Amino acid sequence: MSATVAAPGLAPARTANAGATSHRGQMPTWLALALLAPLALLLAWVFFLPIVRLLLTSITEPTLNIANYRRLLSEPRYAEVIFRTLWIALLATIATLTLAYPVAVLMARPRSWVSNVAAVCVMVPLWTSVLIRSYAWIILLDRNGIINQWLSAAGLIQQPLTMLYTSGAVLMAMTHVLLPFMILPVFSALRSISPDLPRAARNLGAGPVRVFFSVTLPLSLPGVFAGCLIVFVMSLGFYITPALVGGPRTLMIATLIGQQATELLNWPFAGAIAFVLLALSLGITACFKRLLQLDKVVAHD
Amino acid sequence: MEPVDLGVTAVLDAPVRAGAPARAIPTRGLSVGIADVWKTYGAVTAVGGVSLEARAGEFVSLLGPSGSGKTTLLMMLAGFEQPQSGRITVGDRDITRVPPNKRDIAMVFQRYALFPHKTVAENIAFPLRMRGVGRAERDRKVQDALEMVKLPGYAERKPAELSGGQQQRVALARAIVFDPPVILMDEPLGALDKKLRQHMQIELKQLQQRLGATVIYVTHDQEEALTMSDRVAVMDGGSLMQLGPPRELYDAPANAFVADFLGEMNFVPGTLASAADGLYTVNAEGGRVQAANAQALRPGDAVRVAVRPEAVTVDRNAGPGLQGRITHMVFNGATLSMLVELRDGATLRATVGTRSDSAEMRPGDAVSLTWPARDAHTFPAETG
Amino acid sequence: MTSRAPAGEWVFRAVCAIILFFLLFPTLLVVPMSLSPSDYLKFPPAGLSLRWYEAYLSDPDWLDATLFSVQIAAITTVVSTVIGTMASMALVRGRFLGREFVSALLLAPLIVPHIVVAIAVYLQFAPLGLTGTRLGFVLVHTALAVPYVVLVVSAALQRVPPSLEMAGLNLGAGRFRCFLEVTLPLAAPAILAGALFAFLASFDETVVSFFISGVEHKTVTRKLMEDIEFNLSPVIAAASTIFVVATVGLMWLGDAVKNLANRRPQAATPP
Repeated sequence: MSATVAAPGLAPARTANAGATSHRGQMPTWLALALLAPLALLLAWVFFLPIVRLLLTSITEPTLNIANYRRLLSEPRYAEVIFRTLWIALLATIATLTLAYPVAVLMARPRSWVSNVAAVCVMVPLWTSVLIRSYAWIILLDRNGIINQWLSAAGLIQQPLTMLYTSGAVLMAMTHVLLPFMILPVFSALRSISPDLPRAARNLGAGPVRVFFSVTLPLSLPGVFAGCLIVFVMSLGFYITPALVGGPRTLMIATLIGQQATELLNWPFAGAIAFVLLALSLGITACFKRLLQLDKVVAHD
Repeated sequence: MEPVDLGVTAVLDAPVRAGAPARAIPTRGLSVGIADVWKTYGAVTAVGGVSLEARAGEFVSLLGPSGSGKTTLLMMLAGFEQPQSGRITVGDRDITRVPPNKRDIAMVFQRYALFPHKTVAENIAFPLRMRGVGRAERDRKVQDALEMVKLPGYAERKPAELSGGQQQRVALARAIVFDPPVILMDEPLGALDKKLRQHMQIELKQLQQRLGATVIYVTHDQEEALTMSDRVAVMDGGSLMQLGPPRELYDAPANAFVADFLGEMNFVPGTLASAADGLYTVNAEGGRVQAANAQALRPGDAVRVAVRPEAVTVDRNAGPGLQGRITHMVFNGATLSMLVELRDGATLRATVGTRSDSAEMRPGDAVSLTWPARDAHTFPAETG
Repeated sequence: MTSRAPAGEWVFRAVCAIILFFLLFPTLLVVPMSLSPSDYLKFPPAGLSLRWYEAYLSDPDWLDATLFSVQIAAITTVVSTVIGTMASMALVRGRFLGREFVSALLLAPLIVPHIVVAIAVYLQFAPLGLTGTRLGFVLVHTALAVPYVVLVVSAALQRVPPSLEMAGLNLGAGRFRCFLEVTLPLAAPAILAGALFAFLASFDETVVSFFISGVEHKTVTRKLMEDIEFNLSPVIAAASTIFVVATVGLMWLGDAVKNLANRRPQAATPP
């Protein structure tokens, strides 16, 4: 009356269709690849290929050599550029972190008109082009610019200060431009902290300062690291702001590349610098990623 | 398998409260055949050599714990997974390699999968549009379907505005509107609360009988499977454990898994002493018992005797059977469950009616337990 | 939070106010500057005047550059939205070897500094005569803009339960029909948001545009850079204000659309 099968027998001979073609109605592989093709081809030709060619140019002109790299790393004026860039990037990271943290804390508070206003103050600069914001700094820092006008109108200075085209100007402007990029990850990390945690800490006897240092700050670290990574790497490759606000005496890596390429038409050398920049950016990103994983592991202890 | 006149049997076996009238064998549905189907993912065998056939118009449940392969099997019927080997047929048609949108089989998903951006009517009309049905006829059929699931007037609502039970009905309406010969259901009642679920079980069954479609119903809830199905296929670890009408699975389990999975079951370990007249005599700790032979075993084998709690008779006087002492009594409303601890420390559960004589007993009483030999089954002892 | 704020809280708020001012003031500085009637930069401006807007609107160089940028951005938007959405479908619903790797590669343009892209692409395009041409600009801007589309659309697609598409297939719809009827409407807000971000990515793009602009065709960002370096005048402020208002407006719209997409119930989930 009823079929009874207790245990499976031996595996039968497989037919030609061994191996499923689709999973739960998902896209078959050929279709997925076909959909990816246009973008892949575009990126290959417009993005990856040119970069590879550029890097190759840096080592193959006129013959296979690394003279460009040697020159870059040994001649003091170029080494100075690299050092200056790293230094400014580091300072910018520290500056943005210092300024970003309080604002992020303010934004992470329960929704109110204050946190909304703060959000607007962060988003509007983020959406404004870097070009326009850098232009604003020129208006501000120029010898005939606004800050000088105010200072002399207030009688604080006799002669206009030279602020523009200095490293300080570049640092100031970059800090301003990059600040939203630090605020957002830190804010995101702060907001993901369950509100029960500080409450629990208070309940167990911790004062507000203690709560901040032992609960809030450590839990916000992933966001802090992410923000630092973003800001630092962006600072390394920044072109617009150093080009406008800095000058020939405050060359950074990106502006050096531009100068070598367009003014001096020394493409192989420019390619070498570009490769060093790329290597630095990717290398630091990779290092940081590993640090972030380590951090998560440590947090679990 | 011997062909059985399932139409009449199904109606007789259906719960009385469904109130379905007896009628001739249904003709709209088609049979579903699964022939030696295999599906593996790397080293894991999800479905291993399963064969079963659902007759036209039958309600068959695939019952089993998670990981038993029942959902994978359903997915293969729907065409969302491809078996490595084996054949799947609907009626006379081999659909093993047919893509999912050409199989003409409806599916009701676990979380309903209603299109949130379309109205109820648009959702239900979808399969009709795909089949090129004209506007006027579409509207008519949508209305019919809504009436059948008892949601007239809900046509212009959006799924997000409906309760869980209503969404479930819309999903059902969408599945039946194009008169499919086979309907697959993937635990459709799982997200509903108990009362609603019981109500929907009856409605689903009534609907199915009215439509005459063949239904393959996946569930892990054995009560649900027993209540609704014409036949139940119990699965475990990718294999078919037993296939048969609910009563048969309950009263005559073919193996220990089925015995344990359905309802409550006591297992008494022991050694096979002798066999005679289709009955085994087993030496258990605390006595000698008799049970029917479910599987071929030899004297000396380590076995366990499976007996339902409601088949156990509890006697206050010392007598034949297993000796023990009542440790707990649990009041279940209509029944009373007694936990009896045997001399060797094992526990047996006996269920009696609240109004029976046994209900007068108290914890601590010494009792002896017996049962009709044919109501118990002998299985090999657990290995490993 | 106690209702009586302690002294430290006021210090905190003051500090935040200063930082927010630091953020906002330079950003919005172009607005009052553009309304200044004087030739040189003065703040606060002495009076209000629209002369610099008139100068902008009557200068053919500015208008040409603006029109060129808008055209490029428009074409870039269409192309990047289409191929970006296709790629997102493949990444979210497809299964193939190296999917994670491909996904990371597709986002590479976001990580590589634009200066590197600029000179690399210049070297590639110059011998082919693509520098300064619409085609050249569209090609490279698309490459830079698509990652934004992919990010936004992929996120939205992941929130569409696969069971919806399976239901579509089961009920008889072919794969493309399924995409049109089920997936696309649900992903539409995200696709729209992605398109907006792509438009702005192209319009605001400065570095690459600077290097591959030609004499006849230059983007408005290149013109801005040139004039800031060599021809500082409040016309720049007027042009900048127009762009800031347009940009912020569009971005705000994109954000609102994206939030709408997030809040919309992706599937009528059982309660």
